[in-house]
Amino acid sequence: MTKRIEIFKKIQPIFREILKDKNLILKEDTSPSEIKNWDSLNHLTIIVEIEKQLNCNFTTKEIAKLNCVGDFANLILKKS
Amino acid sequence: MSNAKKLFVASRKFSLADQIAFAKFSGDFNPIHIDPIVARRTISGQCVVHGIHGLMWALDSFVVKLNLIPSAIIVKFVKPIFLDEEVICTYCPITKSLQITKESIILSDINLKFNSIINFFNFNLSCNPTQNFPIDRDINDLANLPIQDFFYKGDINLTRLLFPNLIKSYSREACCELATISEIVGMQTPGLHSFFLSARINFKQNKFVSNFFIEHIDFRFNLLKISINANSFTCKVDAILRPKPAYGTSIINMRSMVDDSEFCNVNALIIGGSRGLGESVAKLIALGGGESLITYSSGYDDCLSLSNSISKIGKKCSIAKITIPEDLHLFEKLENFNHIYYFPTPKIFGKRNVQYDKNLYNIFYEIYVNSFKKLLEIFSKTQKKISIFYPSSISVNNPLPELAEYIEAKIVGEKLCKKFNHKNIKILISRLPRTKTDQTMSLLEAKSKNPEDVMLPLVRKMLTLTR
Repeated sequence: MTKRIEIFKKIQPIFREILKDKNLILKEDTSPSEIKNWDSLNHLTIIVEIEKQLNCNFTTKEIAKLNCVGDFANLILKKS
Repeated sequence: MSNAKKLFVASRKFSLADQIAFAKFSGDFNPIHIDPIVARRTISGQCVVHGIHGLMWALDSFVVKLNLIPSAIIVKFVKPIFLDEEVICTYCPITKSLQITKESIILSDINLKFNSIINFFNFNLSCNPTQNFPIDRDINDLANLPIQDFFYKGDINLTRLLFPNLIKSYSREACCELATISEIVGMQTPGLHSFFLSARINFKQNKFVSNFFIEHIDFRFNLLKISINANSFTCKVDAILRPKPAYGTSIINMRSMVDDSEFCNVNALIIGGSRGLGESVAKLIALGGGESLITYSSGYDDCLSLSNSISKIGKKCSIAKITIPEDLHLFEKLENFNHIYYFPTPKIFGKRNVQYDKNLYNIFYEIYVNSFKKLLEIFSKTQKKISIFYPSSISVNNPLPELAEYIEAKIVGEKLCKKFNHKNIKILISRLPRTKTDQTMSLLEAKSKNPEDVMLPLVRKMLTLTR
């Protein structure tokens, strides 16, 4: 659980910066459908930035399953 | 950032004439910037301003207003700038960022650095003739691309007219080189199907070779990192090879789907049939022995090509320019149809944020509700039995904020269809899944079905409605 919280702490600034929302609070079920600016281009940018900052790599198959922030956390946990 | 005080720098609208002038100046004639007909089949659905055009306008306005000359720039093209919309350029002295915005939406985010004093650049520009059309490359071509020489391919005489202040800060030649970034991305690498994401530009006199090359490709997203070395700067560009327009399956390849005579009694009016779902219906009906009149609003070439492909296999299909809602009255002169398919639509997935846009809703309402209602009134006068197809969307079941206006209009349209009662007219409403059309193109792969697979059972169902 602590690790999951750590991941949220690390990815929140990335989401805030890319989605241009400094007050954004990420929850497990936060998804593109409810967040202003979370379009396909920003989705891609978020993935690339997370990979860069957390030093991990996602495959195309894994990326296709990233539907909400919880999915990001699961994948990062799996990779760490 | 949003609390930091921003200074107003400039505002303007980019017209098609402005775009053509910049294309001549930069040599970037990618049709997404200057050809509304081609642009409607791209991911943006309409012409977009060259990213570098927006950047150079913002810089030109900035240098004269603030009397500062940036030594480095990081520009992110966050959202497209469309033609004829009022955009504003502001500057925040605390964060040293220029922004081009429309209302509250950030379109371009430009961070400036003032680390060194910029000396007026003095050098001989390497020029080559203008290319008429961008190169159509795929990802494998790009993966094998060697280092290219850097050449300016535009009209240098336009520099003073377009960017009079920037010339004084950096020199005419440096401005031409800056514009060449647009030409490299839009015409060469990635070329025709390019999508410009960002650029990091460091101004400095470069005494070495001027060239550009791809540093890295991320094949998952077709994302390219391009390195550009010019006389007056070095630059790192991020660009994407975007999806090509979704051209329908060829009629020859659809042959096995339909029995030769299963639609032989169909005389269809396909409204908005030049591409996508309408195109598929026209092909299916033709293959089944039926006839169609396909209407289009702006896609004459697409419609003609569809009609020719149907004629080539010995089937009948005619075309007519009818714009909804302006030309609705023309339907009064058309008769003898027993199927009507209603596909006219503005761009659905082209919004730039999730804020509800009342004007957009009104556009959708006019087409999906008002015009459809008028169409029903017109065809209610006929004594013939008619099946009418009203396409709705699966997104009505699972609404996305970016489609709120579209969904709301479709729900009202569905209600209208359900209420409508006429002894000779039956309406088939279907909430269609995501299909591979221009409307649903995305930078990321999204699950979608072939339009013909979706429409064939529905065309068959239309047959049974008025039996």
